Amino acid sequence: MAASIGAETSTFIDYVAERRATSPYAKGHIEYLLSELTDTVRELCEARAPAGAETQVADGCKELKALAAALGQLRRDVDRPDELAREQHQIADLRRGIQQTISSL
Amino acid sequence: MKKLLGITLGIMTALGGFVDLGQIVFTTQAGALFKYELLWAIVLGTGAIIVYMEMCGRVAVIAKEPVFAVVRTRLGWPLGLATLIASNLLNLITCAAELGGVAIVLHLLTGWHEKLLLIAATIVFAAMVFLMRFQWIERTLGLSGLTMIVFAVSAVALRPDWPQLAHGLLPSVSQADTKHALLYWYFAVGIFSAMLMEYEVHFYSSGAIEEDWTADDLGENFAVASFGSVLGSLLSVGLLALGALVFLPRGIFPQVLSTTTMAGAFPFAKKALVLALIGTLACISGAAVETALSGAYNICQFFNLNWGKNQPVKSVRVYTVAWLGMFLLALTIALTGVRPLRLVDLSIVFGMVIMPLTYYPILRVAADKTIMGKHVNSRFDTVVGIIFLVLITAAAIAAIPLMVLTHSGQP
Repeated sequence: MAASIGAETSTFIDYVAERRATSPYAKGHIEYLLSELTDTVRELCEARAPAGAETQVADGCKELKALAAALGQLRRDVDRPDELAREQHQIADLRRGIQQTISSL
Repeated sequence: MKKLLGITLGIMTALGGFVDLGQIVFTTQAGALFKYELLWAIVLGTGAIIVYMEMCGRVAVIAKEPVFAVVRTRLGWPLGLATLIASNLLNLITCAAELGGVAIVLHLLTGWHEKLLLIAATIVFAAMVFLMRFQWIERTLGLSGLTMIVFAVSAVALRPDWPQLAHGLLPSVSQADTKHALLYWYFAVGIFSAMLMEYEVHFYSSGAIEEDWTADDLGENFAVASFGSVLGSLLSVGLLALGALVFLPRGIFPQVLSTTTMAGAFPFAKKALVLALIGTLACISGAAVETALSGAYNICQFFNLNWGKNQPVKSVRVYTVAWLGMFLLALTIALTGVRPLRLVDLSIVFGMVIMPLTYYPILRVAADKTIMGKHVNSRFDTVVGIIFLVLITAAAIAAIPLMVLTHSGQP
């Protein structure tokens, strides 16, 4: 689910950068994505990790929290096109990290 | 012109019925997971709803019995009452989900506070139902729902692989593993169920009586049921294709309504996004009004009380209190903050479970010559009706196990 939200955020940044979204839509959409992600973070971070996968779960939890923070920042920067490219790089790094963690599980 | 406008009953029933919040997200998710492989479920659901919607309209006109009068007389008091309670709980949950969905879309359009928008929208709907005649409610919501066509246009503009799309007309028997197979059947049952939601036929048969249809209108009944359903079905195919074209290649599993509205305008600019939001708003608003009114129709028809949107309020007090109560209770549920899509998941699955209890009595009455006279089902109608009823029953049996095994369709 986290990988999907990461992919969606990346697609969405391009969509906003191409000026195809209205401002209320862009901000609202990030709020809803963030709300979904917050639930996923809670579920993952509060769940008991399976034996032998404690490190991966802890890493995953940390990466999801970072993705949530990046989404929060994106909501603030959504009307500033110059910031979007930087956000896109950050999301791409986070997605790679999440993907690696998923593969190692 | 009157006949042309009469078709809006079918459009509103179908757009509000199976292009509602649940179907919009559910179908897009199915496309994002299985590309076009579940197209057959949309086609099957369309066939079933046309057959049963037409039967409901015919029974309402000839026997003067809308759905819940039929349920009471054919299922008997205890089972009929259980069906009434279950159906109205389902209507209430769906109405709450749709109101929540309306607030989300309004928030995306304006940026205003979601809960205030939720309250304001409910007041507007209640005022609309109170002040407008039935025909104007259906025309307003049915025709504004046509803006949803932007989803189908977007799907075509993204150039789907038509031969591959056509392959989806046949069920796919082989999936990668058991998990995928279970998910595949969960989405198949869900799409089929969402297209046959009970409130569509409750609303449609009551609408036929509200509009004073007579035996002369039976030809129109078939046209209205077919046109509205085919239109809704084409939009559903558009949603499935958008899931396959926009989300599948990017590894996105759409989980929020705003994601699917973005897909509805994906190849185009800002104005298309606004149009997609307005279309979604119209369809979800139609579903909210349909479910609230259906709740009131069901109660009055089951207990043989006066009902009718076009009757003076004084003569239909229970009916008026019932639809107002539906709105009020649904608003209360939505205000608790429960996610509309969670409610919709529940309503689609539990709607499927009780579905045979709605459709079986309709089939019995429509096939009964003593009641229907020369307008009784042809042998073909009855055989097709039985085949669909068997499929509905099989899906009803499978719905809850599939929901549990797939964690409500989580990939």
